[in-house]
Amino acid sequence: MQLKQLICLVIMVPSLAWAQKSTISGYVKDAGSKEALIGASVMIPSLKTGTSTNQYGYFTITVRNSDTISIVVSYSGYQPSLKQIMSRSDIQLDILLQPALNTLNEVVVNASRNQDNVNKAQMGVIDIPIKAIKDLPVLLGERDILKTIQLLPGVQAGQEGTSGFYVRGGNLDQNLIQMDEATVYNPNHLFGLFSTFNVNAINSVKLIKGGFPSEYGGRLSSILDIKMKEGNKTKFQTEGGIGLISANLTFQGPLQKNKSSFIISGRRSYIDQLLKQASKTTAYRFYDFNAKVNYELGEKDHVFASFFRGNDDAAYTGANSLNYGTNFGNTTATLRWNHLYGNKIFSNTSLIYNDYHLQLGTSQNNYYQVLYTGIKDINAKTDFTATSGSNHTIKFGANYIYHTLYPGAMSAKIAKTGKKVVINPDSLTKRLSNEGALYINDDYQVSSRFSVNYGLRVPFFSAGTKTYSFIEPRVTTRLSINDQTSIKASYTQMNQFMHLVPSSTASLPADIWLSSSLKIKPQTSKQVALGLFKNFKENEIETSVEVYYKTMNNQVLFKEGTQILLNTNLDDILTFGKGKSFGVEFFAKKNFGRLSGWASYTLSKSTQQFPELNFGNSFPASFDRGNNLSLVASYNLTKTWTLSADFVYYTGRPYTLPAGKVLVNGDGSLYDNYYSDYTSRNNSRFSAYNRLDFSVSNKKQVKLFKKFAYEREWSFGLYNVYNRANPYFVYLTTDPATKQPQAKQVSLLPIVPSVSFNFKF
Amino acid sequence: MKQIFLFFSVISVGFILSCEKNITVSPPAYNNKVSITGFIEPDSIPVVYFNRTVPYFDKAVKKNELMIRNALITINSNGNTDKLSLDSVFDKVDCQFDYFYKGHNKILANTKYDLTIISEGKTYTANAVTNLFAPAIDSVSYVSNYNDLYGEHEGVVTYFKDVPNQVNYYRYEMIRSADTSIMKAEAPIKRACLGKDTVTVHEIGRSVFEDVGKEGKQITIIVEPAYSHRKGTKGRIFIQSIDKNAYEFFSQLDRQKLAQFNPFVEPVFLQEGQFGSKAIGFFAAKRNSNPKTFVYPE
Repeated sequence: MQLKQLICLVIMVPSLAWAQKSTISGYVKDAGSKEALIGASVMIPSLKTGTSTNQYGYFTITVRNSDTISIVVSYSGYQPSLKQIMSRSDIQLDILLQPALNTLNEVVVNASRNQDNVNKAQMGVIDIPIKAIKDLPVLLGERDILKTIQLLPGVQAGQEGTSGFYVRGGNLDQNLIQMDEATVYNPNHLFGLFSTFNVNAINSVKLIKGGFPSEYGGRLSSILDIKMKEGNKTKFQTEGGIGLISANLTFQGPLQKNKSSFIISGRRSYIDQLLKQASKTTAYRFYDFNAKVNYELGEKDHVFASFFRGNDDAAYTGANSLNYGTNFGNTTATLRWNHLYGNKIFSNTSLIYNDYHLQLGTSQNNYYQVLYTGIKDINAKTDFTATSGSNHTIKFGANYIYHTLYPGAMSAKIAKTGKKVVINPDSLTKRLSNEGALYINDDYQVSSRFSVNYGLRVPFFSAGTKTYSFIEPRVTTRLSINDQTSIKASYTQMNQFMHLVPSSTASLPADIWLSSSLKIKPQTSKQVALGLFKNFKENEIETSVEVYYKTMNNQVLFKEGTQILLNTNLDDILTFGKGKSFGVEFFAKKNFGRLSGWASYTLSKSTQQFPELNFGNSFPASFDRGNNLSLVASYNLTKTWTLSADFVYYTGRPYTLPAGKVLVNGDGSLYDNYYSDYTSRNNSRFSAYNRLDFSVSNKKQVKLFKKFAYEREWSFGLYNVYNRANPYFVYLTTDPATKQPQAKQVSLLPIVPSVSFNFKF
Repeated sequence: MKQIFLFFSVISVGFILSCEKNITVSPPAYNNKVSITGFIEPDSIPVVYFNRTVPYFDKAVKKNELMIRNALITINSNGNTDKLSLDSVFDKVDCQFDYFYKGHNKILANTKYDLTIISEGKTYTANAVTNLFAPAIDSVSYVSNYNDLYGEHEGVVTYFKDVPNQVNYYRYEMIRSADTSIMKAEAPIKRACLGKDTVTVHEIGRSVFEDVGKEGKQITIIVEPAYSHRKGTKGRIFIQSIDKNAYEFFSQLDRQKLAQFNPFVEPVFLQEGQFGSKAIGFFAAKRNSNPKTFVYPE
């Protein structure tokens, strides 16, 4: 019955009348490359209305017929564009924006500055400008999207140096990371120190951590939506960089001028060549490759094909006889077709394939673990965006994914011969499942002061004989107090059918992906959030305060004391419980001027409760960090020199220590004379994490041999400026002489200088 | 060029090598508890160990500092009360005295015994029934290489018949002599206490076994020796039949130790047993099998 109602809504909505109104639609693009500008602001100040371009740079806005109206289009890093048009009939209007040439003296009119953060009925959504990612201090000269994500409010970093992130009390697996709509299950390079995304090939990055529109689903805590560039449609362009451990090169250009283009981008480490000289026990090699072509079939049709592949191969020997060897990689391919029905309905249909594998062998303290996770997805989806009157933007669509998972793991003591079990992926039992969803969402501008974004998503999942289906209501409201201040509230329900089971004790990642089954129920969450959003100085400074409360059910952890063997049924060694997270997030961001950056502070608490763990009592989640402070600043010293710095402070993450010890009477040889009394899980914390990074870069146009002009940038950085030994993990040992228990802390990254050279022509 | 390479190498090595240091952790709050362990077996004098527990990071303390004196410990059955007395025996292997409370009357078969301990204003109670049957060992052998949950190791193999028509729990024990040439786990036995003497040691298997799926059938247990041995070293092997309370307690200890050794296994919390939250431990019945002589072939 509910499904029928949903279908009726979908059919009825486009037929609503548009009397005495006209529709203005089109694409907003970079004037030079004709690259779509995603999330550009399209405003009509006189009518106090506006919209933003979608993921393909397309916008549509319906207004009452009038003689002349002014449209102001703006996008960060570009000069705003003012267009005056007669709105007596529907108009197709492609707008080209010129990049801002001189950021030191940027003049931006109030109305043109994007104030979506205040005006849109969306919460917990952050667009991360690629420029900000490029300006931030970097580790070993590698610019990184995920490192930037970790500096945002409500987002917590994982272990030292890793690019994993936790959003509003959710585990790593609760983040859906998509590259051109294809899921990237492991976005890491180099033991997780960098992300697998090459910044030069990226067009836009958007993080959604609450108030999820209905088009998104499948994860409880966040969506990281990354779009690749399409390629320059007007001229050939080469961009590249050389860092301490890798080099990258991007080449793009037109296939058919103004109609079709391509982009190819690759990155390859050469640290393996250096390590051959420096270490016999450590080896590392990674690469990633992006390619995309697109073709405009006409005014109403546009097709895209994109491909991504990243792979890592590593071996490492560290402290506490820690050994680590891994091979993992993601491959994704996406075919997309954009079509316009009239000028009011925009559709995107995608066929997506992704293939992920992780082979991991870890050993520590004479024990080892090997695991293999393989995931293959075939995904088909179609999405429609329709405008109805001047007040409704309706999205609806459907999605289907066929999952094939083949997980396996084994842990044992290392044999005297040193021989270890090797997992043959072909021998693993495949877990097949179907996942799908229907959704509808309406962004309804009720009045200039009040708007509501509401919708329904109906996900379903089947594995074997077991089927799950849910209804997920989503609603976000916005009430403007004045032009630069608004209050927003949201409520969302989410479900998740894919689970990454975390190990709370292993020092290095040892996680296994599993799909829902008869025993593994889908994870579910409910989240409410309330926020105050205010801009200052003509939107130069954005501020917000958001409070949230999130509950999660069917959270998954390993049972106590379970050693995985090859024949272990993984479903049987899991235990299920619930989680809860609440917090307040403060965010202040300076968008323009010589000094830009942001300050973010989150105070939160995340707990979990499992009947079979911690005597059934609630305990801090292993990624709970009460205080999170991030300060990010970039200062344009001159037209060519830029200084950047970031500082982070996190409460140390919790881990479990035994509280007491008990004497073994009689022959205690097998227990070392004592056994342990654990009183509560995650009862201790690492020392607080804090770090300052600094970089300076010089960027200018130069001429090679006085003829060949190109843009070059030198960037020098210091990671962990004051060389703090931040904790990576802590392990317990016993002094053999005194029998006194000791705690040892392993730290990973000391002060690390870096230098990189980037060029573009 | 050489300097550039050196610079790159230093950076790379600095980056990949983690540093390690001893740290002082804030020990978790801990309220000292007591531990109570006692087996009763027909035709044996009851023995109960009664100690206090200590915070995990406390300095190592001697057994005489942990044992609780002046406790009133009684074992009652059918109206008869046996008041246990404090006793001790010198443990030449551990080089210190073992303290325990020892009864005066032999335990009877098929009898329910109630343990009561009164100490420092608190009372601890538990009971056990001596209705276990002794299993019968069929044979013993040796395997030089065996792979199981604990890795690859040598093992003493014991074949015995499960007692039919009841749920049974078992544990391995070997009694043998040792001297200072023998290694206990990976450390030599302390010469100062043993001198040139030999001492009788009890090797207790850490794993405990349930007869699920083996009802009345032959069961095979393979146990890694705790003490080193030579070709010809002799021992007497027993299979202990233990009750459910002892099984659950030792099963937890086994899994906890596995988790402590293996960093890929989640830590195991000891669940409340017979004494509730007041005390850790057990009061249980056991019954030893007939001994079987075993000679190490290598």
